[in-house]
Amino acid sequence: MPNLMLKGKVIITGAIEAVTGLHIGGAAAGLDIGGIDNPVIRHPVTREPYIPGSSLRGKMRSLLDKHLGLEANKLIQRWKPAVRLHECDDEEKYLQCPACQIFGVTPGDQRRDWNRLKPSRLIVRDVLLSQTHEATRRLREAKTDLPFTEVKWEAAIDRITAAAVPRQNERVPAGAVFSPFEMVYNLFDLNGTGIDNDIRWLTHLFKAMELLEDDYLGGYGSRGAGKIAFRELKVLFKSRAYYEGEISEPVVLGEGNTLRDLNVSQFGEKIRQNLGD
Amino acid sequence: MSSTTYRLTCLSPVHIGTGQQWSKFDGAYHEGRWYVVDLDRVFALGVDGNELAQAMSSGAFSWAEWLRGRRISPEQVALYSLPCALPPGEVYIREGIKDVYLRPYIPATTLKGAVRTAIVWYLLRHDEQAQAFTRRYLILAVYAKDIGQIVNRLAKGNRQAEEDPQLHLRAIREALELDDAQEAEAFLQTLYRALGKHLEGARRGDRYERVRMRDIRELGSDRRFLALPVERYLLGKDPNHDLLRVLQVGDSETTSLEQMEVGLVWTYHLNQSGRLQPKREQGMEYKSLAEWLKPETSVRLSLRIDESLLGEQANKVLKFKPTQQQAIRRLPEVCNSYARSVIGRQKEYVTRHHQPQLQAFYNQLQQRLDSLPGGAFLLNIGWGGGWEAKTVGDIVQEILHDDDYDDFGELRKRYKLGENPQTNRINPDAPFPETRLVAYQGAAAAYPLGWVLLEPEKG
Ligand SMILES: [Zn+2]
Repeated sequence: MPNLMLKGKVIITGAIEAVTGLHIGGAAAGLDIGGIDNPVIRHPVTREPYIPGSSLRGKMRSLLDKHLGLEANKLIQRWKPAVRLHECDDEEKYLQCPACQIFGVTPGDQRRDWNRLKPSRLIVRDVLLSQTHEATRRLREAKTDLPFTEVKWEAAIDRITAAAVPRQNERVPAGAVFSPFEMVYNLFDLNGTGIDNDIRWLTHLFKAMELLEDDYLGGYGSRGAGKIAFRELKVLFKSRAYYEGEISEPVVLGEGNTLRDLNVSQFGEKIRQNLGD
Repeated sequence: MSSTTYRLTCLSPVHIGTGQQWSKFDGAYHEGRWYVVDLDRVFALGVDGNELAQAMSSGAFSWAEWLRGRRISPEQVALYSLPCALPPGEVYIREGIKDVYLRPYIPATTLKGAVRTAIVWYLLRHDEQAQAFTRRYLILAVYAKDIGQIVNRLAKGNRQAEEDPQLHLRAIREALELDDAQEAEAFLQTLYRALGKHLEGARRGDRYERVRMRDIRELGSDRRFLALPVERYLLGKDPNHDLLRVLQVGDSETTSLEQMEVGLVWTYHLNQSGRLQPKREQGMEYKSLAEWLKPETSVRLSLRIDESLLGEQANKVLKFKPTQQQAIRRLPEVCNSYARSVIGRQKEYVTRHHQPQLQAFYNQLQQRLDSLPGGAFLLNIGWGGGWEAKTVGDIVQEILHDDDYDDFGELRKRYKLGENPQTNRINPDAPFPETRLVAYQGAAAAYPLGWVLLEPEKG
């Protein structure tokens, strides 16, 4: 019987700043009169734009896959456009694969027979537009086309006739701040093998965040949208002892306004010192 | 991922539109400036909305006068203001793009569009097969209706016959009067490829590859997408496989509103006696006003090549050819090669038609191009560059040139290129393009629109 023991949680909080305009697509609003071609996703209750945790997670995963040179072997969407992801299909490789370990694998198919547990370590929550940040106040006061967003108009010109096709798309303007952002990374001891691997993979998670800052989130990235930066970061470790009430405060692993300020290389040592067992 | 920061400098006025045009109901001209009126500010002064609506319903309404009558200064109610070349009167003002905080910038889409044109031009220029494809495709597009009709006549309502490639071949031969069987077969292949179908598959009876009469009739029917099959041939079959995915362009940094002004753009045309001059017809002056970035405005932006999409792993799926990869890697050279061609033709045109200011501008531009430092390049962006700076028209003109047939003339007729706005007629013998947009400085014609220089920043 496999045995999975939670040794603690690493909690990464902060804010996400849109360095360029941000377009995370929502459903084209068929019912809205005068609806625009490419709307952004909005929160169903507040109607404010937000960043779905699944978008962040999916993008970080695909960037880490590429960075580690992992083959995108699994077709998850067959038609237009075809979308492929990496997922280990061999248990030995899976056990050593940071991407599959951090982000998990889909249950089912041939993996049904694998005899070990395959926990996904990472939870990424939705990030709402900051309610307290100065940037949100400025945005509220700016003359935007729709609440908190700008509708950008552009003309695609035919390269033979020079006839123009107007297109429009909606973006959250550069400078907008989404917060609080929260990711939870679980540290497991699987079958008494310890948490060394989990600590090593944690650094890959920060690598994925760094890769995301160098890439883009959402649509129109190759045309300038979606550059983001992580801000006001705080990384906490909550050990078993904390959850069992033996310690009153979580341990601060790192803090800073940018990823670079965090000193990720020392997190492992700090976690080991504070496991409390 | 290799990323380069560039400094972009406007060499002539640059107007990038928002799709919005200001009329006299949107703002006031006052002592050399154009003020865009913010209605919220007007109402904040306690103005009666009904009274204002009444005033605006009069054809003679002018914000400047209305404000003066109420002793309100334009500054008090302006969203922003810009220096303005002349009182706009009834002339519309094209709004220039700014972010939501009213800071002008150059959008990535604008730059990427211009780079894409240069790459399409370059690849087409150096690929005879692509030229042959383009030539046949455009001829098919011009005669698509005729071919469709013949298919209809030959098929006699039989659905299977209508979808038979052999029948399509006969229709093409008949419509285009082709004697050469090999040439006819090449046209048939082009037809299927332009429609995104596989001829061999259709011949084997694959139902996904079949082409209907309606598909043929509608080939190239939308002038806004005529170049699409050519771009797919050169860059990739769909957006997912498109070569330009490799190039990531960022929006430029913003600049201040100080760098913007409302300038005069006049349409120049050849008059009755063949002289190039500002167009005036039936008491109407063909001029417009545009919020443009002044020459010498400079902003930074970054270009990045996504190496992972050129890597071995990605190439299994994307299959970019070496020539395509080269075009991306040697982007400055590619853009300069296109710029050289555009500048050469424009210079020749303004020299022939005695426009000394414009000639001097193109001379300088050409000299600059000849002495650019490594990695720097010229682009024409935004509105006003005209057909020659936005299309691969020169190559199209060349490959459709034929001693026996005037295929380019037919193309112009089909796609209304160079239509006389009064008569809605095309004169295939008249020079094309016949008009040029000229940006003024004060009272004098001074610049073509949209030329920018990009220089990589050191370090
Ligand atoms: Zn894996």
